[in-house]
Order: sequence, then C-alpha cells, then structure tokens
Amino acid sequence: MLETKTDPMVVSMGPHHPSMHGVLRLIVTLDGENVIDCEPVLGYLHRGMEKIAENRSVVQYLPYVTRWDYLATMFTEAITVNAPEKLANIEIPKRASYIRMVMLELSRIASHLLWLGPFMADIGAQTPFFYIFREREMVYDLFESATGMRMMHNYFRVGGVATDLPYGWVEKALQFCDYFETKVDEYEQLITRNPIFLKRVKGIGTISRNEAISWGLSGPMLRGSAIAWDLRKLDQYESYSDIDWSIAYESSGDCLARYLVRITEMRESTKIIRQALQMMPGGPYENLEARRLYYGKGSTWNDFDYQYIGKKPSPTLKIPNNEHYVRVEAPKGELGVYLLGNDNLFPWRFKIRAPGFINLQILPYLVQGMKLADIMTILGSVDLIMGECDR
Amino acid sequence: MLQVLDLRQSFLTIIENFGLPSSTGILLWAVFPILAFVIIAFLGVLVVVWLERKISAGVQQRIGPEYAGPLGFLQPVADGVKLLVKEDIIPAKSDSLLFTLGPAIVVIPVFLAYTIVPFGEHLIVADLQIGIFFWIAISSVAPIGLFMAGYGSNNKYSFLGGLRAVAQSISYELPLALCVLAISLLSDDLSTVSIVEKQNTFGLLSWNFWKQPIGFLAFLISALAECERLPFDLPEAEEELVAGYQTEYTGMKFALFYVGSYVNLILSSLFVTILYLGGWGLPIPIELIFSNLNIPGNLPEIQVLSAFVGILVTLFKTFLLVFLAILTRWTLPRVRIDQLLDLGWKFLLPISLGNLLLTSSLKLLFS
Amino acid sequence: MFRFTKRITDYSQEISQASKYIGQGFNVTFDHMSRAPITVHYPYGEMIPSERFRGRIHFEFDKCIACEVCVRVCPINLPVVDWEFKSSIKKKQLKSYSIDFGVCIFCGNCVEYCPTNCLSMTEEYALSVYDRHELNFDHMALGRIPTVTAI
Repeated sequence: MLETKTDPMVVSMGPHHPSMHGVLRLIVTLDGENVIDCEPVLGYLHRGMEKIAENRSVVQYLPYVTRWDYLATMFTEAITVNAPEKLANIEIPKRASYIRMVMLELSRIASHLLWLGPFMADIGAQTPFFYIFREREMVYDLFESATGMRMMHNYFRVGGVATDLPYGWVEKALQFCDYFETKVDEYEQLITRNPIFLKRVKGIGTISRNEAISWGLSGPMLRGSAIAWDLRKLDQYESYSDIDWSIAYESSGDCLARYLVRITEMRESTKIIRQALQMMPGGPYENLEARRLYYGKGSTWNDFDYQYIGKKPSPTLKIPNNEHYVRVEAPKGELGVYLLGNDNLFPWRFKIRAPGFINLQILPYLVQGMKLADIMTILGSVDLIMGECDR
Repeated sequence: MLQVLDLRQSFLTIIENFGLPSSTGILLWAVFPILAFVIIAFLGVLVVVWLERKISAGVQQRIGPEYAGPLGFLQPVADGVKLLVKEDIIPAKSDSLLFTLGPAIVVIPVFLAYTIVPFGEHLIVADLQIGIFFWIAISSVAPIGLFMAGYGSNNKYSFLGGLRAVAQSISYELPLALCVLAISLLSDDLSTVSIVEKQNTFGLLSWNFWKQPIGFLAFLISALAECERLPFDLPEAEEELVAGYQTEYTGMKFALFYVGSYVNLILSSLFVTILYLGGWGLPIPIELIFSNLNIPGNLPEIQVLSAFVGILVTLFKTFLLVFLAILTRWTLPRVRIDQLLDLGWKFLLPISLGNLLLTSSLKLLFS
Repeated sequence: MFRFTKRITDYSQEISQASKYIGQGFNVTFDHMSRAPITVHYPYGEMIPSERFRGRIHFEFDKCIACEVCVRVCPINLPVVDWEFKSSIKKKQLKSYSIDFGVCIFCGNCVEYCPTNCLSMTEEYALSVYDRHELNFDHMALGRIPTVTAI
C-alpha cells in the first residue's frame, strides 16, 4: 500500500518579503497548496513609541506620531492632539476644524490609494500600483504646500493647526477633487468588473457579522460585513455633522466587499472635501488659549486683562490629572489613544490602540482552508501597516 | 512561386570560386541556417526585452530605458552583460546536477523548435513532414526541466514554484495540441510551409483566423499559459513565492531562464502567425500585385524582393502578437492555481475538442 | 433538453460578458500609452520645493538670544547651544550653536517656536556626505546662504 500522504510543509514567509506588506513574518503550514494554519509574528518594527511618549511633551511628541501609520499621517497627528484637547477641555476654532477635516479626508484618500496599489500588485495586476502613485503625488503636493513636508507633516497643534492654508490652496484642492473622481472611475473600469479579479476576491476571506463584532474589528473590515459603524457619524468629532455624506458599507463580508467599501469611501471623501472647502469659514486657525501656561494669571480669554505673548511662547501645556480614551476613524480602522495625565508636561501613560494590530488577529482564522495564493489577497484586504502594528 | 533562385547552388558556387573544395561548401551550408536562426532568436529576444520595457513604461506613464544607447536600445545588451559577469552560485545542499541541467532542459527545446519556423517558402531550416507536431512533441520536454530546477534548488519556494509550473505546462499542452490538430485537418498536412501556403490562396480572407476563430482564441490562451506569462505566471508569482523555481538561480543560468522565456514568447507568436494569420502572406497576395503592375515574377530581383517582403510581414504580425502579450501582462491580474487548472481542463479542453469536432464535421460535409 | 440549452446560453453569455469587461480593462491601459510621462528624472530634472518646504535649517547668529526654546521643543533636544552668562553686560553670550543634520528629522518645531526668528528653513535637501561627521553643522555652516536649485 503506497503512502502518498505527506507531512505538511512549514514555510516561513519571512519578514524580508517582496509582498509589500512591511516586516510581517507569517509561518504558514501548507499541505500542498492548501493552508492548514498561519501564525503571524510581529515586532520587527517595534520602536518603543509608547515608552518614548512618557518622556516627551505634546509638541515634542508630534513628529513621532506620523511614524506610526506613515501612509495616513494626519490621523495619527489628529489623535495625539485630540487627546490633550479633550482632556483639558480646549475648544478649537471653526476654521481650524474645517481645515483639519479637509486634511484628514485627503489623508484617507492617500491611504486608500496606497492600499489599492499593493493589493492589486499582490493579486498580479501591477499597473494600478503606478497609477495610484500619480494621484498620491498630487496629494503630496497639496500637503507640501500647506504643511511643508510631503509625508511627515507635523501640522496639527493642540488648539488647532500650526499655520493657515496658503493662498490658492482651496482652488487647487477643488481641482484635485474633480480630477480624482475621473480617476476613480478609471480604476473601477480597469479592476472592478474584471472576471479574473472577481474570481480571485469573491468569496475569499468571508467574515460574518457576529464574527466581525466579536473579534473587535473596525474600519472597512467591519463595514464590509454589513455593519454601518463609522465613528465620524457616531462620535461627531470635528465638523462632520455639518457635511452631507453617507457611510459606505457592503454586506457580503468577503475581500470584494472590503475592496468596494474602500473605493466608495474614496468617493465619499472627495464629496466631504469638496463641501468642506466650499463651506470653510474665516477666523483664527489656532486656539491661542492653549498657548497660555496652565496656571496663568487666571484671566479669561479676550478679557481686558488678558495677557499672552503674541509670538509663540514655549508651549508648556500641562496634561491634567485625568484619564481618557479618544478615537478617530482612521482609514485602517479605529485608531485610539488612552491618555493618563499626571498634571505634568509629560503624560503618565500613552496607550495607542492601533487598528492594524487588532485587525491582524483574525488572519489565522480566515486563512485556514484557503490556497496559498489567497493568503496574500486576504492579508491585502486587511490593510495592515506594520508601523502601527508594532509601534 | 517559381523557384528561379537556387540559394544552395549559388552559395556552393561562391565557395568554389574562393578556391575551397565543394565539401566545405556543403558543410558550411548545413551549419549556416542553424547559426542564422540562433542569432535571429537572440536578436529577437533583445528587441522583445526592449519592447517590453518601453511598452510597460508607456502603460504606466513613465519613460522606461533612455540612457543606455539612443532610446534605450542597448538596455537589453547591458542586462545581458550584467547577467554574464555575475557570480554563479550553487546552493549548498542542492543537487548540483539537477540544478545545472534544469535551465538547459527548459531552454533547448525552444531553440530546437525554431527549425520548423518558415519565414518564406524556402526560408526554413528544415521543412519536416511532421512539421508542427515536432514543436508539440519537443515542448513537452520542458516540464521535466522545470521540475529539475524546482526540486534541485533545495528551497521550499522553488519547490512549490516548480510543482505549479509542471502542473500548468502539462495541463495546457492538450488544448494546444488539439487546436493544432484542427488546423492540420484544415490544411491536410502537418508541414508548416504547406499550412501557410494553403492560407494564402485568397489573401486576407483565406487565413485560418476566419475559419477557426474559437481555435485562435484557445490557442492564444494556451500559448500564453505555456510561456508562463501573466495572467498565468503563477510559477514565478513575485509576491507569494519570491521568484518561484528561479529563486536560487544567478548569473548565466538565470539568464538562460530569462532568455528562454522571451524566446518562447516569440516562438509562440510566430506559431500563431503561421497557423492562423497566414504566415508571410500579405492581405493581398503578392503575385496579384505583381501581375497587376505587369512585373514578371521570375526575375531574381523580384524574388528577393518578395522574400524580403514576406519576412517583414511575418515579423510585423509576430510583433503585433508580442505587443498584445505584453499589454496583457500589464493589464490583467494573476489567476490562482486551481482556477488556472480549471480553465485548462474544464474550459479550454472541451472548447478545443468541440472546435475539432466542428472542423472535422464541416470538412466531411464540404469535401 | 430545454434546461441544457438554457445552460449553454447562460454560459456563453457569461463568457461574452467576461471578455467584454476584460476588453474594457485593456481600453484603460492602452489609453495610457498615449499620455505624456509623469516622471521627473532626478539629476536631469528636478521638482521645485514649495515655499514652506522644510529643508536644511538656517541660523542667524546675531539674532539668537540663547533662550534654548529650540532645544526644549525639539523631539530629541538636538540643537547644541553653547552660552555663558556674562555678568559684566548682564546678558548671555552665545559662543557656539550647532545642529547635527545626521540626527535631525526636519520637523520644524525649533523654527516654529523661536522667539526671535533667527531660525528658518531653507529649500536644501541634498545633504549627502561621505562622512557623517561632516553633517554636524556649526553656526558658520548654518549661516551660509542656501544653494538655489536649478531653475
């Protein structure tokens, strides 16, 4: 009797991999082409961000946070700035809120674009990778003219934004919105109905509604499984309630659904940007209240006796003795920060809830029983970025 | 076409005029076409590599090679020289005999198949009677080489890639052979020269493309799968398997794989032109043009001219198909292995069988 | 019999639709071949940085009051401000100021919070050197006029 059943093969798709997902190590147990189990190994990009935060003031820490999720940088800055703001009850001017909203949505578009490129490249179509960089370069140009740097912006401040938008930025951004909508149509024409693409992603990596909730997923993974949960509508932070937009969600729960959710989110973001730019109010861009020393003269804002140094004094915002969790709807999921203040410049504990880290947990469960080629598809649809998974 | 020029006799006369004995001339004449074809194949590879890089750059809105020679023409030469001077590494625990022989066995059948490719009525290395079947037979040797390369590398990725490559090669040989069978039914002969000649009776309308549209598509897809080009390039899927069965190869052995894949592509396009697009025939037969212009067809200059035109036409059609293959590579995503095998066995095989059935029944009806 | 023909018609419809959508994809990529390239070949052509671009830092020695705010807002406390309090003139005397661009992340915090505007950012980003110690700019090197990119 010939023994034809072999032992399963253990392949280590090591951290060094041309799969464009960052330094993630997957130890995959294969039986021929079928996957039996998959164990992700993290930590290759750990830089001790949370510990560093305990020794930096808010302004000193802001350049660090863009290095968590380096593709959607405005969200990391937004959350780091929101945490002390909400804790110390600092209000931001309306104009600053609108500017923040526009920047956040542009960053969301940029992040989804750079998700689309590697996702398609993993499936095999390598041209969309070049097309997304063309659009992303335009977003970079917009960011560079407003903030000074293409990727690591250092733009948000406690109480608003660092500087106002340059002259002509609003027109350029509106032109970008018009251009981008035609490009999204082009992507859909190239990809969405392609039968080979559909066979690769339909029915792969299905997550049911209850599973999505019990695994603690967030972002497009949740919205791809028929749960219309979007923190922008739920928490109503910034000024999202002034704008007319809808949550993008699909019901099938497979990779195709998540792909469609992200494409629809790109279109919705363009809508939001357009409306926000057209509705942008004038006014100050930073709440200079936050620049006052916490134990100041006890005078109220804009009072006769109010004294503050006109040019920027050293920002020594003391974080109050309180604890608090804030969250934003990042393109990858729910990005949150749990801040424990100790009435000091430096926070006592700065815990980062990274969406990629939580969303990664479901990967071994989804991959069982799939073929080897599906691992890449599923990993791509989870939309990881190792900078925030490992911090 | 009247054969007024006897190339062999003219060559022998020239050699004798140089004072060398006629046996040297016969020896040289035996070697000369083979050498010519190998050089043509290599030059074709250079052109196709350059074309691929320029076309993919055009599709991706960038420029591609432009600094190595004018318009980047010398870029493939630079690539070749680079691969030549690289160190030849054999992995430690690998089976060195299998490892070294693998690329050779993959590439040699492809070069051998060039002997039956005609560029004109008498511009062929060997007009075998089994013609096109020769290609089908020797291209079946390639999966052994792929397996040797995959297994002999002592690397899990290569092994997986080799297995996939073998499965793919074997599954797509059947629809290929069945389409070729249908063509040979149409032209009553397996020899490539007679297949082309039968297609050039009425010019554009008598090409096999109109008589066998389904066969044309099935042959295109199977040929693309045999060449391991996207959308069927699973064995070397970069993101999953690093480089599949080619992972451990460096220097000249990798150059053999690289060159072999492009030579295979040109060969498949040549066969598509010969079998379906009328080989060296213009849309209007060249004899018709000459007779309308009142030029006698038996002058040696006219014969040289028509042979030259025939070569150009073949090359034009071939490169049209190569362009299509390159555009496909950069447009379509990759097919998964089980979907690939599904496509081969459950879709192409029944369709080519049906095509064969249709052709044979129509032939019986109308003969 | 009827079901069989229906299945055949459905199947062939699927195939024709599939080829139609593949053809649409080809349309997009083929259309791109007629567009101009979007790449900028760096040494032979260059992008002009924007006005707010955060390049190398420029330092005006005479304006500095040695307050060390730039050090306190820097994420890594990088600028080295060498000052001494001169009791004769009751002012700080700045002896030397240096920033190591091998470590600097060009965040711009120091420029933003400098009270006397002695720090500013230039548009120089091509700072490659063969020896990383050459990147430790002292106040003479920081005060040089930035080299303008090709126009």
